[in-house]
Amino acid sequence: MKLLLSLFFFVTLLSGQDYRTLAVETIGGEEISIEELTARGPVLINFWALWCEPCKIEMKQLQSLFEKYRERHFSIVAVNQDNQKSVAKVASYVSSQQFTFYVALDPGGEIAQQFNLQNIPLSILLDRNGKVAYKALGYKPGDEKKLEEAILETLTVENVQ
Amino acid sequence: MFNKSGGALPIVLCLVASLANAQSVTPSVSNILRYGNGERGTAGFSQPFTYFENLTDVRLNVQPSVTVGFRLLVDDPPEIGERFQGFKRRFIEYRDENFMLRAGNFNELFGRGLALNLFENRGLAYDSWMDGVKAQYQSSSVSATIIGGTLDFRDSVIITRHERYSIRGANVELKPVKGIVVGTSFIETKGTLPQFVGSKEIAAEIPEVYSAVRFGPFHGFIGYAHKWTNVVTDTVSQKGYGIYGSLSYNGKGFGITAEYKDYRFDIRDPFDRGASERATRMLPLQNPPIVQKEHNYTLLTRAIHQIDFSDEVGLQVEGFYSPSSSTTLNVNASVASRHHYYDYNTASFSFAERKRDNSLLPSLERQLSPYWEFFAEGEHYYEERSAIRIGFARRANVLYNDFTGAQFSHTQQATIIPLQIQHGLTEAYSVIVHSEHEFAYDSYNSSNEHFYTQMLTIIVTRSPDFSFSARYEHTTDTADPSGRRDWFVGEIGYTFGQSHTTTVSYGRERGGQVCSNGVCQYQLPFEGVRFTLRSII
Repeated sequence: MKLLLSLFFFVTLLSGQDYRTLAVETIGGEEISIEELTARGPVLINFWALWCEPCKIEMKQLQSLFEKYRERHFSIVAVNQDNQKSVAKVASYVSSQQFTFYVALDPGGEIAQQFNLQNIPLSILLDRNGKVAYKALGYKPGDEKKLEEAILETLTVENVQ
Repeated sequence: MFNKSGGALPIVLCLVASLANAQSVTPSVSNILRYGNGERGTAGFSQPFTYFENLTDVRLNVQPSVTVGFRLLVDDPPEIGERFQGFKRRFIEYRDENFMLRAGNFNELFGRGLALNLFENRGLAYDSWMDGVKAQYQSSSVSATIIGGTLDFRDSVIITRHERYSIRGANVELKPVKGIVVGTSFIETKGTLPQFVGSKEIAAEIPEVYSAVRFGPFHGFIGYAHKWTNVVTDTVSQKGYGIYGSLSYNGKGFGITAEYKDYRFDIRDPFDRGASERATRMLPLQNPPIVQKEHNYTLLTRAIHQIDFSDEVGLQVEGFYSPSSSTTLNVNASVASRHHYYDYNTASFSFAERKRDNSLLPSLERQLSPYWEFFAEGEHYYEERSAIRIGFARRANVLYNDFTGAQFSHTQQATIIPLQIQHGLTEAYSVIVHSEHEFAYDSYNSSNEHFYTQMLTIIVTRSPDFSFSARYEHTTDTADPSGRRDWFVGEIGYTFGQSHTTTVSYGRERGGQVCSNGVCQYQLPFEGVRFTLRSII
């Protein structure tokens, strides 16, 4: 109990992390930098896998949001968490869904470790300062509305600035 | 370590937090707390069981270049695995644009895992992370990694299997032109493997070469790893190898992937094959692709085929096709078997290997313990948040008894039909009705070889914070290990703030992959109350 109390006290003292140093390679072989993307607009980093049904349901909604706000420099980087068991099939699935946002592979979990990822789906929205503006662990139908509110808020703040 | 430092721990954590806020230290924390109180057992006999797990992963970024990380773990006891309290992991890492150096605990994947794949699956209590040093250089045309350290491996299924390895390895990948990767790895390891009596010392070397190609709509991968094992204690050596390949063709609205595996790391006759402690089998630091579908339907996640990475050849083809933005079709077929036949000589009590000419391909002959599976699924969105998914799966597995022949071989067959309707009631409320029906045959069920299993789940969610689910399962299988025929679980989930999600369930769980409260995880059989709190900060 002492340990748990210490841990909770500890975590409440901590503030958010800056993820702009992250750089990934997409399925298409393109090198992208989160720092370059956030310099243009808000970035959603989403962790998903083929074996995760809520993840795939959420991805359809993310595609709709991307199409709606891409002109305002909103980006999505979907980091796939299939390990070597299924990673060969990810490109085929992405092609069938015609996702137009960035999709990166992470079979060794290197990117996931930088987020202390334990469960998926996980979505983290970064504003143009690289700070976390929104995050959600898990997905329920309708969660995309909250995400869209957060995207609009970051875009509104940027317009004011 | 935890007990000794328990008093000082709060002070240490406060100091670290103060340091984090005082300097440019940016932290990241995730925490999972799991508690269960109830019963578990087999063959109709249950015993009271309580588990308590708390896992805290912390990363402290001191400027962009240096990261310190640790895992505080309280498994007292865990749901599966051994008790532990204290710092399970710790590391310090320097990383800049091209170079990374890490000391402490780490995981690593070379290629597709034929030579090296160190990872953790906490749900199955599998952990092959190393403790040592990793250095990595990356540029646009080359990457190189070297590792050195030790692996302390504990098997959660065979609890006496506690093996220790010292590992040194290197990997180099070249990208001579865009779209082509050529890689090579080398692993050298020494290990101590417990036996029924005493232990054995081994030395193994695993060189590997592979190449990945991306050309227009084609993605391809081919890899080969050779394994040489010297059992120092017995002055015996064994050679083996593994091949893995994949080829995809992807276009607008469709994609198809074919995979091939030929794993011959340690082909043995049935006498030696059954020795779970044999020193020449595939090592726990290797973990290549399974070339089978990873399912998300609960009944299909209860595998009937156990992959033998030391002796298995197989193929898989999977296709995805979307005729429209609201409809997706998925088809998968896979087959696997052993390589060769073994004929039993009752006079000499020995086996004679009879090689198969076409052992590069899997066979459906019973004597080769074949496994095959076919799966098809259609998904159609009839509204923005409303969809229907229907599937069909047929699979069969034979575990051939080389001693007695077909008579006492184990044959399992199953047809599984999943159906899911997801309906958006309002912008915030949705309901999911999920059904899975299985028609099964098991030759070892002497009382009823044919049986069925029906599972029904209802999930009601209110975005973004609330979910309720009820799951009922019934089987006519009188030989189920639990001795039961019915299982019922009710669950409530709540998300507060953006960082914390909690789930409380009560009932009887049969096990398998379950998606609840928006998250999927593998559940072990259990009866009682469960509480889970997930936090990410």
